[in-house]
Amino acid sequence: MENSKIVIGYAIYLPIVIVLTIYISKMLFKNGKHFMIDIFRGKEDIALATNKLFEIGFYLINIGFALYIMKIYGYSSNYDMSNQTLMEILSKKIGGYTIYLGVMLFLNLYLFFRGRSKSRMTIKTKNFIV
Amino acid sequence: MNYNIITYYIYLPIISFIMVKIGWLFYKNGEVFLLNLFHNNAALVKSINNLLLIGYYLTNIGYAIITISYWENLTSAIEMINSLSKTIGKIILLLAIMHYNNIFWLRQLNNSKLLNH
Repeated sequence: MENSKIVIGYAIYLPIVIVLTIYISKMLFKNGKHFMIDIFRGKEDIALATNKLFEIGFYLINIGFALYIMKIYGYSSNYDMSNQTLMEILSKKIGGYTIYLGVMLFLNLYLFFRGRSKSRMTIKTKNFIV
Repeated sequence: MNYNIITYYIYLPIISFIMVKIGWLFYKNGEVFLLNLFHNNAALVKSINNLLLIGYYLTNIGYAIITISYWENLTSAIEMINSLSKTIGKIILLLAIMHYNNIFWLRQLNNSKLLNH
């Protein structure tokens, strides 16, 4: 097959990235349920629905970005790529994507914390007015 | 198999072992501080702790993997050992700096009233 090393690279990259994204978002929103219930003060149906919507958004953003950066540039079809080059390219892509995913996770955590402190503040002001 | 590929095969297990071990230790010992910060709300603390652990793994292992793509070209065994020790040492030093940064912030948060209302 022509430039088969690049095809092998894609075949390694795609499963790793998709499984990683699914696993991370499952873990994130399993743990995020507590925050959501806290934010919506025990109204469980709204909390779970919001959680689900956030999860779908997380999937869309991250898998979309993973596919967007997949293409391996700069290697023509008549150039035979060595194993070392393939490993280095893959490590750059997978490592970069992993760091990006970590940053997204921390961003989500920040949003959870912010929502929690906002909802607490509204409780406080309500109590104060009453 | 040239020297670079051998180096990668040595480097990846070592660094992932170190990171997983350190992350696990922090996860175990940090829970007490978080419980203190969030007034013993155990369910919330457990999920916060889990999320912090996952974030730690993602960013650090991602960084460890990405260093492979910037590795210099190696031609002998001695160069291999030199570059391995240099890279692993750099990553461990970075971990140490981040660790002290974490301790500092835990102290600040414990003293301030940011989360305690």
